[in-house]
Amino acid sequence: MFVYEKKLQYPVRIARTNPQLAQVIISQYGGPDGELSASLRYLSQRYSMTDPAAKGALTDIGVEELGHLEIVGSVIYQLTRDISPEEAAEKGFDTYLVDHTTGIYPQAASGTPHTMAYIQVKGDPITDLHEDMAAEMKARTTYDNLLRLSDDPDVSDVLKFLRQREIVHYQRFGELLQRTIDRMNHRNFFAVNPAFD
Amino acid sequence: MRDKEKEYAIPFAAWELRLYLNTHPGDERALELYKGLCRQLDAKSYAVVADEFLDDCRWTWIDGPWPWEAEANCKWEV
Repeated sequence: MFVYEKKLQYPVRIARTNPQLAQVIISQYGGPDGELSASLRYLSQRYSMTDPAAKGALTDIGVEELGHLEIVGSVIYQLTRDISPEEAAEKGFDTYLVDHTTGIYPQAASGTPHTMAYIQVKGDPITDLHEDMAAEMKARTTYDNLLRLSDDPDVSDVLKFLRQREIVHYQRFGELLQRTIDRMNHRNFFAVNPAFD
Repeated sequence: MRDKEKEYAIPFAAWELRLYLNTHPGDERALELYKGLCRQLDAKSYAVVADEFLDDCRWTWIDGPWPWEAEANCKWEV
């Protein structure tokens, strides 16, 4: 069961609006390598894990990603607070505003709505842990790109925190993969699905 | 550390230890550090596990049946 604490994991306090920046940051909300993909991937993969450490880690990291989804939503919210339609139009935000006003819709920067096609749950712990490590790297690269595009120190500060979390999660998934491989016969581990065979 | 930093930093430190303990459940030093931070936090903080998981000198959060497994549930008799 999920309990909600009414506080962000990391504070978001942005002084200036910037709909153009919001337009790209939204990829970490509803894009292929964003926090929604991450949380649903991990929270769904945990059921077919056999190692208790993996059930725990995927649950806790999946929950943390939901917390990050909330942080990204808060950034977008503050970047678009009380903007005028003229400001939206000149910053290229008008194509989003027409369909969503300043609401927060789970889409990529390109406008593509979020889809479960962005994630896989293969039901094989070795396979799924590899996907999780790749997912964290993809998220890290996305934050790298956003940091290249951001000229706002308030925003960059939050992005740097979220980027660092992806790297830590990557290390945790690496440890889980190592534990899984260590438990199996080294000559056979590609031939066996520990959750099914 | 300013109060506001403490408000975010202590729960975060506890949370980091919690993630570490999931893959290092036998690390007693980390568990002691975690318990110490939890004592400074409200029981409702996102980083704090329920008391029943802090009884041992081992990290037991990951042990036992998880909620989706039948053994963790009872039949609901009216």
